[in-house]
Amino acid sequence: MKRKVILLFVVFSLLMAVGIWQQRKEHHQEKSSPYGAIEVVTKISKKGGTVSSNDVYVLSKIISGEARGENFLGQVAVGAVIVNRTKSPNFPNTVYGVIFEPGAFDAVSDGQYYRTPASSAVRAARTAINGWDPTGGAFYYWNPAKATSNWIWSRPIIARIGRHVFAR
Amino acid sequence: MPVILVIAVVGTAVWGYQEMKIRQKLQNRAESQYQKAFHELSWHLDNISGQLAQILVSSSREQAVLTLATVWRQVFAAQANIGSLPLALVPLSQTEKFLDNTSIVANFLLSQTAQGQGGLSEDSIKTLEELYQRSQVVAQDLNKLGAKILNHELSWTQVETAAFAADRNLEDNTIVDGFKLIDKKLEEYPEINAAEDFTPLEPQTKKISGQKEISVQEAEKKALLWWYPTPDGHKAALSYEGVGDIPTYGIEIAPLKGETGPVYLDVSKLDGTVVWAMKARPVESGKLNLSAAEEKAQIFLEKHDYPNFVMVKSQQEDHVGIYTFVPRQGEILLYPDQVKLQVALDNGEIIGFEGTPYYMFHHPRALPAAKLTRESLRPLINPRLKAELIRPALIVNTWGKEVLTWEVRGSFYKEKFAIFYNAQTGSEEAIIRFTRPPEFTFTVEG
Repeated sequence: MKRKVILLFVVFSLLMAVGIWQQRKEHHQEKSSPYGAIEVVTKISKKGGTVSSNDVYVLSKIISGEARGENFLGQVAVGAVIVNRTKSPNFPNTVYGVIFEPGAFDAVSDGQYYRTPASSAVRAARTAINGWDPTGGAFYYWNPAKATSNWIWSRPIIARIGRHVFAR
Repeated sequence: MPVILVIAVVGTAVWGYQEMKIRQKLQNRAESQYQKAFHELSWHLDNISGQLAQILVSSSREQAVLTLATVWRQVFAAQANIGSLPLALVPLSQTEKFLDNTSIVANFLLSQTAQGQGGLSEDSIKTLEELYQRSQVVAQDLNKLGAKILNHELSWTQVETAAFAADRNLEDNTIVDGFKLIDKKLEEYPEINAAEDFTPLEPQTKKISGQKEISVQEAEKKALLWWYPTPDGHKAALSYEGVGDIPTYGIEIAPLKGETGPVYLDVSKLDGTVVWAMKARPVESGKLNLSAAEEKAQIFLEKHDYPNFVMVKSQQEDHVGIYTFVPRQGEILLYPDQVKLQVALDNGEIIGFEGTPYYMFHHPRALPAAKLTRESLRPLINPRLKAELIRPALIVNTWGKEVLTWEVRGSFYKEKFAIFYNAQTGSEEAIIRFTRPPEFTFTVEG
């Protein structure tokens, strides 16, 4: 009996260690490969300007992380919110500034952002960055089943698309 | 047997300790970045306030130019600092508005003063003074908060973790409260007396005659007919309603058997106009070139009652052609009223239409006759630009005003440019570079 418990304990510790080690390794790999290419970057300026395919890729990664499981419309909508933020004085002026604002997006905080994006998210990103905006000018969105922040619910809601509500 | 147990326990302990150390190191690193951003923010605000005061006490034009440039640069840095602090869900709209106002005013006055149109006007001085008063509030409060952070060793990472723990309902947090207080104090000041010159005006929004809103059924019918003019079994259904910039019905047309994706159309509730549309389908190959696909776009526009449009920009992204078209008033291109189209390069199908700017802004304009003729423009063009095309165009300039210009398209080395010359004064209102940024191949899933 005692032997079994000890054995179980050892196996459990080993599994945990291996699991964490692998997770870290995986995370590291995912993080490093796309990042290498993203270093050469053309800025998206506040008032028009050029948009590089790197912007599209960065945007598609956040869409993939934030709106996996949403249909195409819902993915474009999330992308449009980020694009709208870059044009607002209340947010950073670049896609990168908006996405990496500390705590702004769960997908960045929990690491989902660093995974390979879905191809539909790339199309959604390109569509959003070129001006398509299903939300009609939203700056915020959240999943009403999850978000309980009082402040976020005080924003005026302007559309509900898929599982997200969109607000000014 | 106990030996194994000891080894296991010691091993776990060592491993746990190492994990903790690593976590601590990362947290300290995050904390140090936050501390840096905060103290820099405070420092930049001190500088902004000081520089604004310097302009107000000086009467030298040279000093004004230098100081305005410094203010502009410091505001930019301060905005970057705010963006790197974990304040994403702290309402800071007044503080951000103050910074944005300062940036616009500094930039505008800088360009005016640098163009040598005399010193600062009475109105400008007044606006600068109002900005100075606000900058004092922000700078002083940030300094006080900075002292608290230093004295009580308050931690930014704790703000962040507390925010997560409380699902972003942050109350009774010294740092967050400090920022909220600044925003509140600014709120008590009246709107900046921004002379019209400083405010980038939105282009005049077309008066959308709102009689009676159309019904969902009408919207579904209109959407279906717009995308599939001949009935072929497709069905339209309401997907969502929008009450943003334009009140709309979001209509979805489901794909038939064998088709790849649904079509989404946004229909204005006011008059049934399709504001934008997109078809969600992958495009795997590109048989058509950009100019062949452009013809498809032209035909689509004409069929949908957007006649006489001129293509002003085309770009290819993967196997999709993206085109910007603008309407004309007489010979004059109306850049603010653009529409965009996405054409699939595999079979030439239109997969995206975006007509929001056209719907919102298009209206007949009372345009003055150009004082500058095409011939008198020629000598103004820099000989380094190989001019290939000259045409009249209405654009929105840096300050958000619509101006009548001469558009000159040309090339420099391998790069393409458009320069817009004010049709009355000949000054350059805007320069656009069309060169595509470098492209890379990325991995995608599915």
